[in-house]
Amino acid sequence: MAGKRMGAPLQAPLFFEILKPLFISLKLFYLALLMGIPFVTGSVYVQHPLAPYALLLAGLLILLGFLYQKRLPFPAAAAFLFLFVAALLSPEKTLSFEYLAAFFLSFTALLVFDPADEKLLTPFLAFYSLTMACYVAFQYYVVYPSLLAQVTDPAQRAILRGMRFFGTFALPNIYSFFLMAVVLLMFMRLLKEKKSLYWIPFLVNGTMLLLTRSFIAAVLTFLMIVILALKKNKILGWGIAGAGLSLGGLFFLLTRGTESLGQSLFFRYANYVSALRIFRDYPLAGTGLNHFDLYYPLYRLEGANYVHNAHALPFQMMADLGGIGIAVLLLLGLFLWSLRKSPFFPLLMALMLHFVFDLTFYIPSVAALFWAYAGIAQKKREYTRKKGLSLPALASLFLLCAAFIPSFRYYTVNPPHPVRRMEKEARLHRERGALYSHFITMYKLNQFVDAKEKPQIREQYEEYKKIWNQ
Amino acid sequence: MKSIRRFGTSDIIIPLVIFVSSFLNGGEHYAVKYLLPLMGIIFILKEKKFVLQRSHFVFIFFLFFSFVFTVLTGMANTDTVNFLLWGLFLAYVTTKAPSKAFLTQGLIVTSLLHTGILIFQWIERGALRQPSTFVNANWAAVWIAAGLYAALFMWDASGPRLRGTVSFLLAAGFFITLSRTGFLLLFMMSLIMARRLGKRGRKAVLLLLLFAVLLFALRFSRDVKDPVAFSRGKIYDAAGKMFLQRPVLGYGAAVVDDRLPHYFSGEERTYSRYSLFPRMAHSVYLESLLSFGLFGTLILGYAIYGFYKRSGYRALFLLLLFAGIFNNIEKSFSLLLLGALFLTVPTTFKREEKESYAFAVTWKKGFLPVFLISYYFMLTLLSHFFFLAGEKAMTERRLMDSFRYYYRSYRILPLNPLAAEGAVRSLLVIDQIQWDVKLALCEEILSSSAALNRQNPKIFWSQGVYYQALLHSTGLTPLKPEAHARAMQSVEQALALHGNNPRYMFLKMALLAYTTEEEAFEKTFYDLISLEPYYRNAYELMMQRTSNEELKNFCTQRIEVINNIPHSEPLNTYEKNILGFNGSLD
Repeated sequence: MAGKRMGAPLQAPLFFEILKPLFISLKLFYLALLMGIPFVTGSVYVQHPLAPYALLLAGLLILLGFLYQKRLPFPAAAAFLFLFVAALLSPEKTLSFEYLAAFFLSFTALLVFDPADEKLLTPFLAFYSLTMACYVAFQYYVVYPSLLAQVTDPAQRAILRGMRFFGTFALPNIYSFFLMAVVLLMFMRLLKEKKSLYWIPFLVNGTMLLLTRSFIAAVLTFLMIVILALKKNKILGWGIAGAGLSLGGLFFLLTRGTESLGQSLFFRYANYVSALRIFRDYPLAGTGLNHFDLYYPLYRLEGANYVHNAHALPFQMMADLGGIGIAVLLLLGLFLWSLRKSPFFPLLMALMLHFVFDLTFYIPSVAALFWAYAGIAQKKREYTRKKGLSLPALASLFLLCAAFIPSFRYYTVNPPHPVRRMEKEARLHRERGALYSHFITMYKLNQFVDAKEKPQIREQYEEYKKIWNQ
Repeated sequence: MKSIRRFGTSDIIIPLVIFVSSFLNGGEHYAVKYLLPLMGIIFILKEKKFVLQRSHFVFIFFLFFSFVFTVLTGMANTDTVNFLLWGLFLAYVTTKAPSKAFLTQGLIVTSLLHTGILIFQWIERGALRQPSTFVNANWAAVWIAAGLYAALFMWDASGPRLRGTVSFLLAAGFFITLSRTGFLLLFMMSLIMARRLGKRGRKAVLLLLLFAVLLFALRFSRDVKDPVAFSRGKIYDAAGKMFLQRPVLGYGAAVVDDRLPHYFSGEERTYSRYSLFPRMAHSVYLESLLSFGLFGTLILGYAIYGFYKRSGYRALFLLLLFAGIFNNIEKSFSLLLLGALFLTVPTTFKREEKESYAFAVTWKKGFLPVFLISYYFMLTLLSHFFFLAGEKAMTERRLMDSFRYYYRSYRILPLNPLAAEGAVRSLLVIDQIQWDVKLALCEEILSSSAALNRQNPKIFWSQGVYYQALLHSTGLTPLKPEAHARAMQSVEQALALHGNNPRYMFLKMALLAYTTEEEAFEKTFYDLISLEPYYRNAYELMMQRTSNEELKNFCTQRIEVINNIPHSEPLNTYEKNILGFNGSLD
């Protein structure tokens, strides 16, 4: 009878045995594609045209996951559902699906990775991080000097001068997230097995982390290492704490300086205040997923920098989704709490804290690491032994497939940013003589546009104002 | 404490709070409307287990079906969300199992207190038909009727003297309300009494009937002086017409307020026909048919029947059902909750029965809905306070403050059209704000509010008024052609939703005056004066605009007729406004 039930033919052991190596290779390839394959490409997040392929790969992995009857844990699935619905209902879908598609890419890792993958994933990351370190050296000594001769933009030149490393990732902060994850994983391995080759990736990546000069990742890594060491051995823990504090502090002061750090902290503060002000004005359901980007110029504090996100997951969620955002945060908290007994909990905690203080949550190249280890940290389930069709597995498949379609569309169609769309609309209104609509669109543009990036919009608006008020 | 131990904390506290709520505008006060469901939600988490009957599932299905239907058909507004949340709260109340004695005594005590308040109001104001702490006298009458019934037939621990005194006092309170619904309830009670007491109680039944007739006679003599009270027939006629348009699925939850006025044929007064528009169907059954159609009403009826079958308070619940024939008693949150309470008490005290399903509640399961619902109610409360502050500032002519408060209220809860309208109203009269900011804000507030309240004609009318203000302003000439087209679109939308509103019609006329569409202008004028023949502004505008001498003479004559109306005539505010005795209406 069991053979006639839906899904039953897929439970044949032979089928799973054949599929297993393919599934594992695809998982690692999917991660590598997100993080960037050194010497071949950057991360798909940097190389945007590659994203549809990564997305197709994620889709394939979801289908394979379904064959293994894998399912999403409730709090994480609920958080994803909230974000998906918020994207569907948001006023500027382009902005929302930019984030949803990015989140989808990384979130898939939760479904596809399971406890059995840890044995392969951690060594893979150790090897991968070493390759990345070589690539950074290659970048520093070969690629950047040649690029420096071509680039004129001061911001790009500052990066290229190699002040802060970032490997295949888009920014040093993102690379530092990756390094933090690897350093903590290596340290956890070292605490288990002292005589191990993991010393090498631990030291190399630790050094690379310092060289990225990323304050948040360095502090979080240090704190977690101290906590893990204290749990193992008090003397070791206090020793690391003392040495790390003095040496690390000195290193940061010498490399970044108090002025740079102070300015960075002021910018963060200003971003947070702006996000909270948006939340105050839109407390019910926020402005829309990823709409902080659009509304920030309106709420920007005097002297603050121009940014595209709030640089903190809680504030971004509150500004974007209001009460729904708080619910998503609570769900993420609940999800993390459900993993408290896992040995990977300190790692997940550190990564989540990084999300809290920097907005790496929507950067699939590294957020995938969080979701992959969250999948690994879950209780082991006998996926292959279960008979019949599992309803949670079907629900998970349905949810992810529903989100796949608009995400894929976003990456393939690549619709214009709302500001560009508004510019086009304003032009059309003017051509048609619909001057009231022209005024309203120009007013919005004037509010939403970054005055530093497009000062001409402000000037145009002031000129039109005279025409409208005749 | 003993009761709490036996029946559970919420089984005692929730009914207690419901009794207290009747003293806060019959449950209409924000402290009840927003905080009571919140309290219920907290209790849900406190309880380890609660038992649901099949009727609960049917009722919850009905709630979600109606909610989704309303949202999908684009009819949703703030009250649609409240309908769902309060409906769920009612479902929760029906899971309670308070003691019969507690409920009976509580009902009698609160009814006595309401009677005391009514007597005080009567002495203080020197007139009958007082409402106690309810919004209207009918609701007070229904509450006291329930108390009277409980005192007469359900009160065990009392001697005949005490029962007689209490019943007499309650009857006195009942009399002060002078409610026609009360008369019907008395009539019904006397029938129950006649059936229960048989030949023994002929005198008592006769006394009760006599009392009912006296009540009716007094109210009737009052109604002769005030013909407006006889407009209920017209309301039912409007509801009937509205129902026939969508008999199967209805219009959606909480939409009747917006749509019923469109079907109203007016009331006959000396100088006006539309000084009042019905905001409700004045019958629970009609309201249900209009909102949920035959399909929804049958599901709701089936759910209620399921509760009713196991209720130990059937007669009291029937009394409420009877009161609902000619009244929207469901608009009083306290009466609605009281009805739910009547359904909770089983014939015998048994927490678990056949066909019941026990559910365990844990923080892990419950925290998300609890957070979302409590967050929504907190915002509602906050928005309400800002709205009140906005109204206060508007009355005191602190226009900037008024705008700030209204705008904050609207921002907190964009679903509330009143806050949006208030914000625009105050914004338009503030001079300190730059014109471009003012126009863009008005446009943003009104267009998003109209998008969220697609069945509310007043929002579209407000949009039209805003565009008219723009057209009326000096400068901004290049913007005016499109603003005019938008204004016409808005006013047409308002008229499509509420076609017989003279103010909307006049706005259309005023907007047409900016064009060369003579024919349309005249047609609107005639439509308007067929609705309200004494609309002074319509004649004045036509006089200014038309070149037709005959029409000008006609308008002059009508204005003269209006001018000759003595100011001493008994006119209501609306009449004074359309006649131009009280400043302009528009």
